[in-house]
Amino acid sequence: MSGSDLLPAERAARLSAFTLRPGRPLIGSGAGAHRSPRRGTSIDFADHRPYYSGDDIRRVDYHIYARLDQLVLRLYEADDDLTVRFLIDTSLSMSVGDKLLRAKELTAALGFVALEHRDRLSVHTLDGPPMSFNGGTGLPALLHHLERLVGRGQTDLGGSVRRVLSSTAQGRSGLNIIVSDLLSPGWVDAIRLAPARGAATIVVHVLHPDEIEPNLSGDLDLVDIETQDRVSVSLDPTQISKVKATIAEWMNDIRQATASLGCTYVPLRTDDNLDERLVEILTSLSGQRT
Amino acid sequence: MNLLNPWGVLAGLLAIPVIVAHILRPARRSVEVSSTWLWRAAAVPVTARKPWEKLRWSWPLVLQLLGVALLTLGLTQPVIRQTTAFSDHTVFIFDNSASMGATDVAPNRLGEAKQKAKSLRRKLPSGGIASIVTTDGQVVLSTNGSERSFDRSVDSLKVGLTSPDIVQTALVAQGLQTADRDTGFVLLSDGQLTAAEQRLLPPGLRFEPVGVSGDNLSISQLLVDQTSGGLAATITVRNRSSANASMSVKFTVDEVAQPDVALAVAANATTTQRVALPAGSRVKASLQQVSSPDVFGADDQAFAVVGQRRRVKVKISSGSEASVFLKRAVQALSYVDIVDGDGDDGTKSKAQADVEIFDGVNPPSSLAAPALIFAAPDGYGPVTASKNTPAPALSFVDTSDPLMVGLDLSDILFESAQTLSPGDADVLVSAPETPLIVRGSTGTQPFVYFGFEPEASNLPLDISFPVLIDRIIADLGGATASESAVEVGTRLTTASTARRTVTRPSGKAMPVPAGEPGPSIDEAGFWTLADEGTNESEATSTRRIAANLPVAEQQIEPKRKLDSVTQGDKAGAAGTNRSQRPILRWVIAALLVVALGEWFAVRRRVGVPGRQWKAAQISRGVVSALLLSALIAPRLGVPTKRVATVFALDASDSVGPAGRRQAIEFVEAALAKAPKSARAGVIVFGGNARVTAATQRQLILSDSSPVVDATRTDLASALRLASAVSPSDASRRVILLSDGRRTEGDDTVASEELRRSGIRLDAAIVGRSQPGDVAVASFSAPAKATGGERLTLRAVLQAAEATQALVTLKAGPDIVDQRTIDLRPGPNPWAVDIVAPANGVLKYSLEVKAANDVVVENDLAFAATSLAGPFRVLLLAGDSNTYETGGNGSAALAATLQSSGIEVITKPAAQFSGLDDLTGVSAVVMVDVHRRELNSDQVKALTAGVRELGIGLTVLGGTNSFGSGNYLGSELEALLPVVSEVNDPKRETNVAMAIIIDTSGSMSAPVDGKRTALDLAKAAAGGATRELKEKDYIGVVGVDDDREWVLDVQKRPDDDGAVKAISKLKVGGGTVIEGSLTDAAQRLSKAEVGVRHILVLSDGYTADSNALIQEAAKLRAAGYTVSVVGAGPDIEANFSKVAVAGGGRFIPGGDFKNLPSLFAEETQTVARNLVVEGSFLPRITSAAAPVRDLTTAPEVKGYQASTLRPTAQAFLRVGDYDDPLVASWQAGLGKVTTWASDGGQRWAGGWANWDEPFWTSLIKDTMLNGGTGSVRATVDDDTMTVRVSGTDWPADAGALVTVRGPDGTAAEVQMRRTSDGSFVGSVDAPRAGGYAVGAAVTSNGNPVFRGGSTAIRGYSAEYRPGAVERTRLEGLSKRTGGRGIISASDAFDKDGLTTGQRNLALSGPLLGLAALGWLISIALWRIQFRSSLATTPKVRPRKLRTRTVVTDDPTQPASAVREMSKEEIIQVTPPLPPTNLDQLLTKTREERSKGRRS
Repeated sequence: MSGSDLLPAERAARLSAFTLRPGRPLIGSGAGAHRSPRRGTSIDFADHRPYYSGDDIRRVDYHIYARLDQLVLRLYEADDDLTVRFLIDTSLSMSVGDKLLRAKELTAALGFVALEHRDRLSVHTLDGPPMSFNGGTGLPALLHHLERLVGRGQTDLGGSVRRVLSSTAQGRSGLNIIVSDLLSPGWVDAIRLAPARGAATIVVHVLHPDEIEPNLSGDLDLVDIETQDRVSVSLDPTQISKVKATIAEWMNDIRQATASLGCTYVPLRTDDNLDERLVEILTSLSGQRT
Repeated sequence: MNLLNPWGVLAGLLAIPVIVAHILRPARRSVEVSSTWLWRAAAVPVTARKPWEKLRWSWPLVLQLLGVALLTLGLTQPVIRQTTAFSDHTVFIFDNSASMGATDVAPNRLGEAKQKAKSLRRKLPSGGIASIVTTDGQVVLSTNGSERSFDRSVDSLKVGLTSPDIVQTALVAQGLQTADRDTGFVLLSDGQLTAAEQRLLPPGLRFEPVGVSGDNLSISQLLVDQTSGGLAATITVRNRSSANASMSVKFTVDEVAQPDVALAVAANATTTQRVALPAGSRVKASLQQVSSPDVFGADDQAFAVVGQRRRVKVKISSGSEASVFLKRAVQALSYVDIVDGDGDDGTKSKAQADVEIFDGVNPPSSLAAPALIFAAPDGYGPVTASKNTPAPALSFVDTSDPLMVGLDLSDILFESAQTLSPGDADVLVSAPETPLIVRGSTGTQPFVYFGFEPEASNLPLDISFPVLIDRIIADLGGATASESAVEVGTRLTTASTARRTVTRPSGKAMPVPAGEPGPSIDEAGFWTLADEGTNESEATSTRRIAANLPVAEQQIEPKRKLDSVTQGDKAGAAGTNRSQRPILRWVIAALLVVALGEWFAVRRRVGVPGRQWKAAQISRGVVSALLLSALIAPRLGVPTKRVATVFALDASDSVGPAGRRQAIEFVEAALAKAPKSARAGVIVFGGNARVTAATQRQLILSDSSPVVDATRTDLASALRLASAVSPSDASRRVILLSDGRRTEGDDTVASEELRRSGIRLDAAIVGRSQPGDVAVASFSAPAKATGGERLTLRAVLQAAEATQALVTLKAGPDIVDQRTIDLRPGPNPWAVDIVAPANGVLKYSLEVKAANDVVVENDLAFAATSLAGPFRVLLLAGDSNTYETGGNGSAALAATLQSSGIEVITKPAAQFSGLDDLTGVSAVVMVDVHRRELNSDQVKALTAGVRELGIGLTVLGGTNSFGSGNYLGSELEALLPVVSEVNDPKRETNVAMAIIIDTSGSMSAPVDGKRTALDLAKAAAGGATRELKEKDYIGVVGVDDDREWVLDVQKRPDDDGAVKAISKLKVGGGTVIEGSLTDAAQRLSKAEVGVRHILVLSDGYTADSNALIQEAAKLRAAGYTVSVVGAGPDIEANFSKVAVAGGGRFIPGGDFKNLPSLFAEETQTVARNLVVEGSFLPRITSAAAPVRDLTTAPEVKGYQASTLRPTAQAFLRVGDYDDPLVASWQAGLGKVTTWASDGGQRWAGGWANWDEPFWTSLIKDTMLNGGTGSVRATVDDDTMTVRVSGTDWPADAGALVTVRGPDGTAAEVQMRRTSDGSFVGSVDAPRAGGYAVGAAVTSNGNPVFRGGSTAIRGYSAEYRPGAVERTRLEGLSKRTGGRGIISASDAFDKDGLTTGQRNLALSGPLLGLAALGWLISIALWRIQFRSSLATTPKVRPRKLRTRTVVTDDPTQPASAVREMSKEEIIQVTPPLPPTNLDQLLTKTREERSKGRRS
């Protein structure tokens, strides 16, 4: 697999018009293209605040001091960079039915957008070390990294999120993008932890259509691809509808959980048109720039 | 239900693997899924991974077990058992005569018969076998157990065009009886059999009627004569329907169509029309556009070839001018030349006339030629004419006379006619006042006398006039046309020994080699028989023959019942045999449904790999296909080299016990060396042939052998039967074990049939040596002699070697001459002179004895001489004489006759010994003789005596004869001028009958091993019920100490209901019949019927027989009749008087076996109600000699009602319905007269004691009275030589001699005139017994002499001295391509035999295969044969395949597109600008920055 497979040039061309713009200002680690909740040195006036000892006296608004005889500092908007953290579920379950491929393609596309805008980008997997990508050379490296990702091991999404957060520098909130099939009971932990420290969170829920609408029947031993756990089922239409109801309930839980935590929930079927879905995602994040 | 193959139950073990398959844990398919936690909701608890699990009921399991059960059932070949009235072996006799082609039922009667036979075949007992015989004597199927073969054979039957050959059919059918099985017979026919034919049928035969309607139009006769202008066809059309019919008749002459002739025939009438046709030789007539129902088409056409008549010179003499009509009629006859008389052309020929016609003038007193006389003023010869009778009304036409046959004179009116006294001339047509037409003879010239001028009636205007004139001239002038019309079915024969060619109507020519018999005519139309001369000098002679459908076959009214056939004893047989009806087809059909259901139930894959599951599905498909195939029940024809040899063992006396032993040794030796696959059958034959052992594998000869007629040898019927029992599914051989000495049958034809059937005939010689045999080769005595005359008796004694022999001559029981003589080898003439006694009949026997004589049968011969003397009458008295008070009048009659100088020999009828008794007898008188008192042979002898010897027969009635004597349909009745039934529906009465059955303890005695007397009584009562009509009443009561009415008096229930009720009769204690008669009468009184009858069955004992007699007498007075049928020692003493008092019949039953037939007979008698009692005065209805002079007559108080036959004449009629009292007709040479009342003891007392010479006159009238001459017949070797001699017979006289043999068959003898003026001829006489020879010498159609003689053959040809005929056996064998004489070791040799074909039934194997296939499919469906965990293929959800298409099409967008499709993602990639990602990114950045700037 080459990098162009994960990110076709046409897609890249189309995505170059987009930027990753979370709905609210996020604290970055340095100057960047994103509005920061902090006050900074931009030319955009933001606010006044009283002067406290130690403040840079160059920022005192002398016009106000002249009028009101109060030392008031003039605050300007700060433009931060954005830290985008991808948490890609690389468990064995993701290898089922192109889910991992879709995850990689999605990561590559969004990563491209991030890197285009000089955002900081890190890619976390369940088992490997986190990888950061910056600047103009970041994209090839990202693609190379993504290509090498294979599904292995079990899902410990909660743990992974915790690890991701722990590795994050204090004060940097950033954008967490979790790409997973969420097929483990730990999905709740992951979603609950992800928005911590003010990070904006997008949960991309990658599922194969057969996982939403199971196409199985008869007496089966279902083997968990990760744990090798076996579940014996006798699937008749009643049982199948029961399972489908469970799946629908699970997905609904995820939707509600993400909504309540202020996360963006993006369900992605492997048979979806990825380009359209990307446009949807990016539009919902930032809107088209003109 | 029964199982034919109990081993099939083992298939039930298949249930074990099925259950095992179900308790084996189903292998679960392992499917890898991303995660299982969402699936836990659907998880089912699964116990530890043991291979077994608890058996759970499921639809597949239920259906599979049901399937196993049905398969098991199918493999056991289940059958449903039913009781059946059929025997183990049933011979189906199919009537395939022409009338079976009638289409009153669809498709035709034979078609209906086929359907009936097929359904009857299914009712055969378990393992029963069937044979099929057709009434043309062919065996279509023999002793075959396969229903399918039966159906196929039945389907192959076709309607023939012949009449049934019942003699041959009965022989063949009875020949198929096998020693090891009960054999029953079923006749499927429309009942068109004569009473005589019916009696030939096997006893116990079951008749299955076919056909519903007899509506038929037919051409019953087509005669063609030459006329001066061409041809005159006389066509007679018979309408047998109840509707008037009109039609057009199409004639063709030499295949040229003529204008149609319209014709109308009234319902049930006959029309004769004369049609003029152009000259030609072959005439065909066919009915077209018929307006009334005509269900039989084959008789709508007729063929005739023009007869060649001798030319006749006719001279007409008339007073003034001859009748114009007469002249025209004579001139119209093509064969007539008018001479000397009043010919139209005025030419006067002086030639001698052959016939003279006198119209209104007196003929000369001595005629020069036969004459036709019209109203001669003074009469002529014995005919005297007196004053004219004005307008006489025609009342009698003697249609038995050939001149009058078929002529309808009913519309003829007369202005006036002479009053004639016919003298001894025969009256042909008469009015009550006077005879109108008579024929007679004066001296040597015959004449026909019309008592009226042609113009004095409208006769000349009627169609019958030219016909009548034609017949009279032809008859008187000796111009009868040569016989050239035959019926289909006759064999074309000719005296020529040359090569012949037969041309069929279709034009196909068939050469017949010299010496071979000609073919049978099997098609209607014109046949040609060309004899090629034996050498070149002889010309080829061609005979053209018109073959028509047998006239008997035109009568197609179907009969529902055969009167002379004793119906099968159905009630008695019920429960003794059980039939099996296979239900395999139903089982397979059910199995197919179950299999399809199971297929549906397991349609989802469970646990096993997909490929295995597919294999299971395919296997199920195969199983269904196999079941479907089994349902069709296919068969596979495979050639087989298996040899089937039928041994035909000659058991005739010429072979002797030693020969029979040799034959059995031969068979045993052959069987010992028979290969295992070979099959063998054994038949035994003599004069007839029987199956000893049906063809089977590993035959073991049993000791029992059927009885055959050992006094004759018929190789032909043996070969035919052997051919019939040879199975078609083998290479067939027949081995004839015989001495080759045949006495009858055409064995060359039979061997030819064998060759055509592909059967080889080999032979082995068995027989006894007859070294010291002596025999009487011939023995003769003068036919007539006078008392005191010296007679020479001549004999030829045959000796095999020189020996001394004792020769004994007896006259009656007395030894006349006895001496020892020396015999040379070969024939030795022997003669002795004796003096004849004064009167009586001399019967001689000659016996020869020698020391080493082994064949005793040929040592005795008989001869007889009749001594001139007074008339002798044989009086046969009926048995009623012995128990009825006053006898039956025979003694009084004998006394009356004796008083008028007639010698009377009185005998009980049962002791009538046949032709022997008839020697020297002029007339026979039977007095109240019951049918059963004369057996078939006695009746045959009587028939021969009457027909051939001209002995008169007078039959007097009584309560045991005619209708009450069960004459109806009997051979005896065929001889009588009346039929013992009344068809007038007005006279039909309904009957109420009560049957009283003695159920005392003694009735439980076994009669024939299986059945008790009571069983037979029950069967008899059931049979009696069947004889009754629907409106009749019946009641049955069992009487012991009590009375039990098992069937109270009621309208006749259906057969089943009656049998069921009657079966409740149980044996009880003592016998008290008294009182039961009154009880029965009370119950019968409620029924509104004309006749109330009580029938008592007893075994001979009752407490008080006198009381019973009084009871019966009382009932008699009240209008009831009582009959008694009984058996047992005291039956007669106790019960005969009861029957007399009760006005019924006493029927001694002999042993109980006869009960069913006696009951049926008694019921028929009662139901027909033919006894008429009252007080009647007879009316004279004829001018015949015995009644001509009767002026007063006593009354009769009763008589047997009967119907006059069409050609018979009633002398006296009696009663309200004008029943014939005295009737008479000519039967052959003899005359038969009946007296319907009795001999005087009950009804005709006034007549018996009457002074008038009525009885003498009546009996003398029957005696032969013609000319002087003698007939002498001698049997020498196998040939009978007949010599008819007389004095002064005219030069043109001819003799017609008929010989009736001991078997009742008549043969005509070709006679030739010898130099001394007598006639000599010879005929084959192979059988032992009496032969009746009748001779009639005629000159110009005028009888010159009539007489008869008997010849007795002491022993049959079987015993004639002679040696083994090896060449005959070899010749027969060679004809079939056989090896001639063979040894026992060659009996089963395969070489040279035609390969047979056998059919393998495939249903069973197919079912077995289906069972196996099903088991496999269940296993494949359920049991996983590969380890699931180790090799579970990873099942991945569907993955979209990506295909990359590289294109350099410039129209494609430069940018890459990705299209989605259902199955794959097609990635269209333009040949990318040589770029890498970096360049691309640079480019996009630039574009963006451009965008920003803008």
